[in-house]
Amino acid sequence: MKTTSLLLTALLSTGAFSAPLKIELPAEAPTLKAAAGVEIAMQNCLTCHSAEYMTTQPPLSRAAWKASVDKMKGKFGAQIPAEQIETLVDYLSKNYGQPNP
Amino acid sequence: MFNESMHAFLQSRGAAIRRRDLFRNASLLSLSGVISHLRAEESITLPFANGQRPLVRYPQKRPLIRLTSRPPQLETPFSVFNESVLTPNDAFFVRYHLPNIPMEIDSESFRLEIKGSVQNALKLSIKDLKDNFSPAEIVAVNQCSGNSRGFSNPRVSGGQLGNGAMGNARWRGVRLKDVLEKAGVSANAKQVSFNGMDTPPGPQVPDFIKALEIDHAMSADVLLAYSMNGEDLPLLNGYPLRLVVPGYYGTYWVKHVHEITVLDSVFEGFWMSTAYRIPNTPGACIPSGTAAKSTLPIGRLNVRSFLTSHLEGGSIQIHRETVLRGIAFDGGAGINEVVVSMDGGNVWRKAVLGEDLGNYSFREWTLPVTPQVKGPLEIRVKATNRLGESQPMDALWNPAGYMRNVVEAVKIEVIA
Repeated sequence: MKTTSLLLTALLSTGAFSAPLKIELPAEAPTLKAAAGVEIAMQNCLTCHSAEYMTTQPPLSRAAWKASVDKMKGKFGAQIPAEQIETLVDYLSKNYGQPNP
Repeated sequence: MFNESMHAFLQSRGAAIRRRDLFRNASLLSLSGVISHLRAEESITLPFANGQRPLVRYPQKRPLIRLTSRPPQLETPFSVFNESVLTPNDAFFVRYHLPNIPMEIDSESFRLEIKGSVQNALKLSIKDLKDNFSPAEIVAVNQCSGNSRGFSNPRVSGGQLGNGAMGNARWRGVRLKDVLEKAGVSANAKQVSFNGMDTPPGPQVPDFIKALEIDHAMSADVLLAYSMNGEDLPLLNGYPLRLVVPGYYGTYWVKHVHEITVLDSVFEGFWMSTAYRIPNTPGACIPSGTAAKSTLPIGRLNVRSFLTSHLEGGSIQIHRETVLRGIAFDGGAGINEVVVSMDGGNVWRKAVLGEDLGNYSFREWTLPVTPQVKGPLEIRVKATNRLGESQPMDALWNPAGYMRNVVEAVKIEVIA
């Protein structure tokens, strides 16, 4: 009995029985402002990242939001339909942009 | 209306599984009693516009400043840097780029692959690394390229971090060089690329792969680390193996590294050729609001220093000795001197440097002061490294908000 438990201790301490390390992440809170264009933002932006990627930005100019949207489409392959881009940029700059762009 | 459209979105995009997982996680956590992050969250406000952030507890972590939840980006609360010169694992910052991060890792079945322009491609287990290579250890600062981006003026888009996307740890593992030598690097090798287990959400998104010059990869300081401050790496810091590139920004410290490729050419991937590039100018700065004419991949850390014992808005007592304390670090030359000004930058006094844990580590500094006048006080800290490089009094600017290293100013009050 004592031998068995010593053996177990030895095996455990050498990692012979090490279980896979498994984690679960805290819940993601979707917090995009409900306003015209929010569906487009959710469908296109939230596919790859959470809402904080937009909501934590400083009040950016419309041009800066346009540049971000272009980068997501051009560099990160976001499948944003061309006809939705203006609505999306409007949504972002009105809700997360400078007061008077 | 918002909730309805959110539900419709989740279902229509096939993301219902994610929602179900969230609910399942919530109930599991309730059963086990670990429900702190489901209660009303504590928050912290970083000192710039739109700086409010929740403090959220992640696996193997104490509550940290959450910048984003998918992928996770967590910042260390600044008060942690006054606890110890080595940043505790449970407080170390987290920064991922891709949403699909490994959530379950079996360190026994994990294999590190070394391939490409080598004589013998290798597949190594963690046990192989521990048993068949000499262990190597180094204390080194890992700092995010965009640490302090939220202070950029004018503000720039990107992760809006305060000063907490940095940490100092004792990394233990094997030398990358030893592993590459075992594989036998070809004479034509130019660079080595590193890929981790995190994956992009689709084929159109570039995988997060970084590269180092071959001479850098073959230098003695670059490690494949399986341990951090004497323990296994936390999963969110790269368990079971991460690249440690002392003196270089965190972008190169690939987490969960499992694929190393020796290349005969310069690696052209997005994360080297487009992202993480700085203006090719002295100090990597350009006039505010302009675009860089030419760029290069970000490299070594510049010199920084912080006061950690007193935070903005704090107070100290008049006619009583108070020890100011803080940290300084650079890209590997080592800190030579730290000076402190109590009058906004006119008179500077030399601080006492603490234990030397190596050129890549935080270096503690202390300075006893006895204020004689009541009222507001502005404390500035400036470090100089052994190459004579120091910090600018006015912040430099670049479009991505990288490499901030201005002389920090902290306002406190002298009270009776």
